[in-house]
Amino acid sequence: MINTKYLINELTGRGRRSAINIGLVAFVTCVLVCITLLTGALERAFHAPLSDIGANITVQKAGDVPEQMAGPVLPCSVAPISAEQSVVIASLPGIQSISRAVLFWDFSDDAFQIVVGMQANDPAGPALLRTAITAGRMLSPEDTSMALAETVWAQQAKLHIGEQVQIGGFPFTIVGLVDASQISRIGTANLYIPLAQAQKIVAAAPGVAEVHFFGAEDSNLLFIKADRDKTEEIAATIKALLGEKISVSTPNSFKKLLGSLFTLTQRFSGIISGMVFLLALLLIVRNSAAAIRERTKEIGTMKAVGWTGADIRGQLLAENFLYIVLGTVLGLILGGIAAWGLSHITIAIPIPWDMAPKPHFLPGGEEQLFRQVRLQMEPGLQLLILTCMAPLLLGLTTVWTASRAITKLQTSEVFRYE
Amino acid sequence: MNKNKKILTKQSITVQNVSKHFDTVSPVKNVSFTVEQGEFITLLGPSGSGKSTLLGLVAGLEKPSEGSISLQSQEITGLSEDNLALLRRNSVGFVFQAFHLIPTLTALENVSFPLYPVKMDIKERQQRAATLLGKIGLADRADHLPTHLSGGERQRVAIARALVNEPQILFCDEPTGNLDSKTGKEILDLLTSLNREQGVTLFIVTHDQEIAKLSNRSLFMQDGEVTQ
Repeated sequence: MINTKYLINELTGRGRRSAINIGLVAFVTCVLVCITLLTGALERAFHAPLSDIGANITVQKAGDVPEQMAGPVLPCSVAPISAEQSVVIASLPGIQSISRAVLFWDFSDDAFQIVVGMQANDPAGPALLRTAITAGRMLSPEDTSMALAETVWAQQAKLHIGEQVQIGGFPFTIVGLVDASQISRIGTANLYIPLAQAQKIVAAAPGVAEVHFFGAEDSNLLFIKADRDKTEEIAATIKALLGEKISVSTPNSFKKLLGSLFTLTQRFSGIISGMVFLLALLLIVRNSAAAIRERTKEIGTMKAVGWTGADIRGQLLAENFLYIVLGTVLGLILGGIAAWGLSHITIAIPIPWDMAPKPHFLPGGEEQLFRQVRLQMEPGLQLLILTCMAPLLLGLTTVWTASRAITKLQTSEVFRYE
Repeated sequence: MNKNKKILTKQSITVQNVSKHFDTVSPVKNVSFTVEQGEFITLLGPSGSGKSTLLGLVAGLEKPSEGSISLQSQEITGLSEDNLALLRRNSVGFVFQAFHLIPTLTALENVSFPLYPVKMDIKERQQRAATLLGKIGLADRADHLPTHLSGGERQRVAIARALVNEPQILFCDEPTGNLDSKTGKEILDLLTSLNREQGVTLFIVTHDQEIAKLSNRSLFMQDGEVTQ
């Protein structure tokens, strides 16, 4: 039978021991919360560039560029992907949807523009720009010869809604302005037009025909929504299907892009955090065992005045349960505060040139693009259970084992042991 | 708790051919004696003669290597640790030389400590402890922690704790060993009055001849052997 009065007196009467025990559990809990939240936040950050555009895989193909940069031209990183190849990819298990786009450069005598053709009602890709309209309206599936212009580019080009712009020699009316930088850095352009018209312009362009065959239904950028757990498997299958020149990007690609130093640092900090966590758990075990050892005289007294082994173990387990519960609550609060602090960290994820191609010879053409991602801490029930259970299981198991061993001793042995 | 107690028999403690060996050392060698209910016995002997070991054996704090021990006609040498604890809870009180009070509990709580695992009304438990504290003259010190009590007061609390389960036998290991002579005498008066007035069997280990003079009978221990 547990005596609550004795329990509370032990907790309050031995302030230093209680503080150490509670503090240790709080520290372990806090470290565990931080490691788990940080790991999750980094994983989400690597998904950000792709999830911005509603996809978790992008597919592109490398190809040649014509000798002369005139009229519509396909950048070397976005060679044609045939309609048949798109159909094959769409049939792979785990793929939920494919959004196709056509990205091309449009050179004229005194100007250059990046154009993307898209289907306005696609579930992924540039169609998601609908949430970043700053003026006017989004393209609709029925639109023809209408275009969206990127806000900053339109200001520089002094273009306004309702005005016309020439794309591949055809007139398009600007119906809306969009701030693409708020959404994504992948496949961004100066102008966005209906997919069918982009396909038609590119298929007829001499600068494209010089190096590629581009069919009327072809595209050169695929945005794929796939089952999250099958992403890497699908990426590998697509690479195997479409050959060496295919470039398939997944969240892991962005992780690799952060470079070996980042990966090394991440691993190193993971190892350090893991070691700190293990050390702290070992300290809980050691401290719990020490708490029993330092009370051998008291345990001897308990036995001498008639407490049975079960009475003693019950009391000691209740005391340690209280320490661990209080420590866990404190640790969760501290972990929450630490996680809040960490959530203010922003990491810059580099976007490969291939995914937002711009001619090298133009100003800013070789500039590295980054997607700034703020770390998002998302605690879950699983984390809560893990952080509560680890110290509880370890602490109580240690106390039970140590107190069982000591209560099995004869009373005078306990006094002699002390 | 009283319901569980066995009917008192004349022989309170029976020790037969008891020995205790630790590797090559034998602090208790083939000891036999009996103690009548209500007797006041002192166990005398020089330091290292085996007195405290014998006390531990008789009180069930330790198991003998050989021989048998009965308390209140119950053979205890074959009992498990838990059954020995229950026997002590129901029939035996123990007073240590070093008091062994729980430092985080008040005097009143220390006295009621043996009853914590017993299913009984909290008020009844507190009342019983308070009555005992009153009897030993410490009613006004009930709320004090052991660190705020003098050595004599601590030993009184330890005695009250040993009595709270209304034992038939009270074992004391050098109960005045850590006290000055005046306080020691007060403690001794308290113990002898318990023996006289309540018929509690008193078994005191001491090297103090003055205590021995007060007892009904003394056992002498030398090199692990007992002479009467």
